[in-house]
Amino acid sequence: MAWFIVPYRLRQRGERTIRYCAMDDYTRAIQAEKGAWDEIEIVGNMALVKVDAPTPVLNQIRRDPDFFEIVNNLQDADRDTLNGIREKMQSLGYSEKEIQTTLGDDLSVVTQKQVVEFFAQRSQLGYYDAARGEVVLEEQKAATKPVDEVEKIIREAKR
Amino acid sequence: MTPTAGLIDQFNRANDSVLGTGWTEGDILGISGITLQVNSNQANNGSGATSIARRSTTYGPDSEFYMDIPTLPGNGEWIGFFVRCTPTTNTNGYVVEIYNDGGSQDIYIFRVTSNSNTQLGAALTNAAQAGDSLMIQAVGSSINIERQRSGTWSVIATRTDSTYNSAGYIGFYGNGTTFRLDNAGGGDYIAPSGGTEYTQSVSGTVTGGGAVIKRTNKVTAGTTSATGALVKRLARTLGGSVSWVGSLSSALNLIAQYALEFYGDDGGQNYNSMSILLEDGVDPYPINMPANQTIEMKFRALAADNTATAADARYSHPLTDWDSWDDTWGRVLGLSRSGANLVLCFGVAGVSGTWATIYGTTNVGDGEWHDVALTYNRTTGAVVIWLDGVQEASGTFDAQDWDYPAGYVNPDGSYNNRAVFMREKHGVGELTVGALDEIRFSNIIRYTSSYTPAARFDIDANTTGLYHLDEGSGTTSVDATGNNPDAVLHVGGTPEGPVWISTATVFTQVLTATVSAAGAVAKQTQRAIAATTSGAGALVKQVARALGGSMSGAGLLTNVRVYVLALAGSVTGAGALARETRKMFIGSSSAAGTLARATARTISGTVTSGGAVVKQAQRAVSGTVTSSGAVIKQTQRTMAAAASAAGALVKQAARTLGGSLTGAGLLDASLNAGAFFVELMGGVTGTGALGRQTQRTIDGTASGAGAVSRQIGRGLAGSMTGAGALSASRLYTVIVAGAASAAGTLTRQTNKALAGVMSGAGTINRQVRRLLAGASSLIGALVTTFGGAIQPGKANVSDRATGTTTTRDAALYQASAHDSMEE
Repeated sequence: MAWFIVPYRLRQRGERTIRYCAMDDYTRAIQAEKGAWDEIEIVGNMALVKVDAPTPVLNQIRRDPDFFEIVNNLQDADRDTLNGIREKMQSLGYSEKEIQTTLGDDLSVVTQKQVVEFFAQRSQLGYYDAARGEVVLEEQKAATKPVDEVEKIIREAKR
Repeated sequence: MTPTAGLIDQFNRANDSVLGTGWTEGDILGISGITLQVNSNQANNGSGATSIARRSTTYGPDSEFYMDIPTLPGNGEWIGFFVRCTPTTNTNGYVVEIYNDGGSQDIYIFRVTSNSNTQLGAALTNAAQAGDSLMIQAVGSSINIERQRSGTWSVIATRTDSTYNSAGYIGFYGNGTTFRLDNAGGGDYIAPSGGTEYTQSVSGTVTGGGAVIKRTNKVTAGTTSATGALVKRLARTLGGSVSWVGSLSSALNLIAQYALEFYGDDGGQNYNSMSILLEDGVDPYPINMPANQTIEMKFRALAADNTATAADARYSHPLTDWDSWDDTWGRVLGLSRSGANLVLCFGVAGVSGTWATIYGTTNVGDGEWHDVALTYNRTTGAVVIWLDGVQEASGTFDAQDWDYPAGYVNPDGSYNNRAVFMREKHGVGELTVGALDEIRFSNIIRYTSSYTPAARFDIDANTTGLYHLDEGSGTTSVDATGNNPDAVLHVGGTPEGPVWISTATVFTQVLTATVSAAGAVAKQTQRAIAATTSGAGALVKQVARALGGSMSGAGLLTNVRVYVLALAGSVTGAGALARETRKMFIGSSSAAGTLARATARTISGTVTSGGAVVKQAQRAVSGTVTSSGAVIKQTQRTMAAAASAAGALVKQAARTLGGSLTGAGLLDASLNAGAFFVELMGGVTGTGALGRQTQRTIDGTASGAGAVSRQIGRGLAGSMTGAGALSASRLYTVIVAGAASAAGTLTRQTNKALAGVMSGAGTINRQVRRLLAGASSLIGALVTTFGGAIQPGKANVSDRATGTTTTRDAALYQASAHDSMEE
């Protein structure tokens, strides 16, 4: 089981361009092993994704260079990993002040769930604008899909 | 889970290049293809390009759409179903799509923003099979995907997205030519309430499919709105609406409900009757009481089968006989003829063989079930007969105990200590042909004002006896209170009776709301439908009483044989009332064939389409008959308004037509010599409008050629302006008050006066026996004879024989040698 921040990608289906969470590129592999995943659309054309799959599948996913994993055990994470999380937060528009207010100065003392919920605070609707040939991101807003909903959907998908 | 909305389209129709009514193609989700079509009773795509169809109205926001998928899309092709999609340009909404990815039928869920898809969550790989059904259902922020496989629906995915929460369009699209879809359904999502209720009231709403799978014995005060919500029956009142396909569609009687049919022949004994013992020789049974009381029951009889005109209740056709020979507490509740009607009556035995009797006035001999209650006030002697919950008759009798004294033995007469039903107990009076059901005895005066009779009586603290007559076999019927002996059936006679009959009463009381879906009430409603029934086939069989609202769908009441009371609203669908309405039809009948057979009483509204009342309206049509062939045979009484289309009244109007006949061929084959007996208040303006005769007055004008081609027995108050009007008239006995101005207008004769001017050549070819008040100014206006006087100065004509007239252009060619001149 792992949490990732992954980008949205585009694929063609006929004349249509479909925007999809890049984790879907691994859906067949995940479901082949009776796994499941679900997402929360967050800001910056990114998705916060939980994957429940065997380690080999997770390792395959981890090799995707566009994916950023939120490690499970932050206490044991090295400085680079923790800084990487902080930088990811900042790259998605969260200020240092927001990070410190919510999580404090030291990410090694917070839990993975706290970090996940931090990433899930805000969402930003995106869609592919065929006329402009690019993804359009609308205004950021408070997230409407709770992290627990992701957990629930994965549980039900694995039944 | 199952769909909550009914089927929309089963595509069971001829192949067509478009999907047809209710569908709008090619204008939503940025898809312009319009090649979806009906093919072999399914929907498919006529070309490889993606095509789309939406329902023409919006649903939701909570809504659903589903279809069967007999054939999946081919490799690299897809199909999709959508909900909450709006507007039609730059559409937002939600979609479920099946995409064939190299043989893997993967399911995707999309949020659509301005025609552009964003996938929600993981695809469901290889998740569809041919023969599955798939549904997308948007409820709040949940987008549920449900699949039916092997007859079972299950949720296969849920996505949470609250971006679009507006009502929108539902529909489907497809790419490629491989897929086949069928049985589209959907619409507003109805939240299930769950639960079942079997024996008591449902005070709220039944909204979930299958929520009440079997029956509700009592009141459902709310609404049932989901498919199959009340799958079998509702024995009592449904206060709300039935709005979905299949509701009450299998209305089967779970409680065995029977009645007893009696045939009126006692075989010289006591056959075709039933009796209940009133005392055991020591004590009276509870139904035999010296107190206030109510006796009530259901009965059905035909006037034609019960013909006795009773001098008093003793000689009526008894419903129940409580007489004791020569004793003054005896009493009979029965039926008596009053003219053609069968009415209720009740009488009590008095001294010296007198029987004071009160009578009802309402005809109960219509073959329909009626509820009768008789209340007796022991203190005042007041008796009231209640018919179908309304006071029918009342009277005051001696205030006395009505009980049969326990242990008393009357030496004369038979069955004195029994209540006998459907036969005069002593064998000196009548039997009753008809049916009986639900007999209840009470020790109170249950009714003091109008009430709605219960379809099936219940026991309460004041019930002294209750016989449901629901055994269905055997020769006894049990008292549901357990306090009285069984009712005994005296079976015999020719025909042998009584016999058990199934009453099959499915929907026995009032449906006050709307039946809007096809097949919603598949069998019968014995009482009123106050509102509207608008779906085809909604009331397939019968409504025994009133339909207060409108019937607007084709095929409503298509097999109706009995529609005995009022239809207050309109019948707008073709064939809606295929057979008959026995009484009043207040509204309009506007579609062809709507009243295919008889309307026995009044049509106060309009009949606007051809063939609407194919056979007869026995009484008045107060509205207009405007279309050709609308009343093909006869109207026996008044038609107050106009008949304006050709052939509207093809045969006869026996009495008055208050309006005009303006179309050619109206009444053109009036076979009855007295076809139009009384009066045509308006004009006859169409050619051949009155093909034969009017025995009385036409107050208006006959202006079309040949409009009255044979005769008018009395006056024509207006003018005749068309050539050949009355072209074969041999008898025109009274007066033509206006002018005959066209050539040949009166081909033969007018027996009396023509008050106006004859201005057309050959206007009256033969004779006018009396007065011609106006001028005859053209040659040959009176070709043959002139039987009456021509007023001096008025006949501006000359006699060709004598040559003495001033005008050579004579109108009277052969008049000189005749009596008229001698006068």
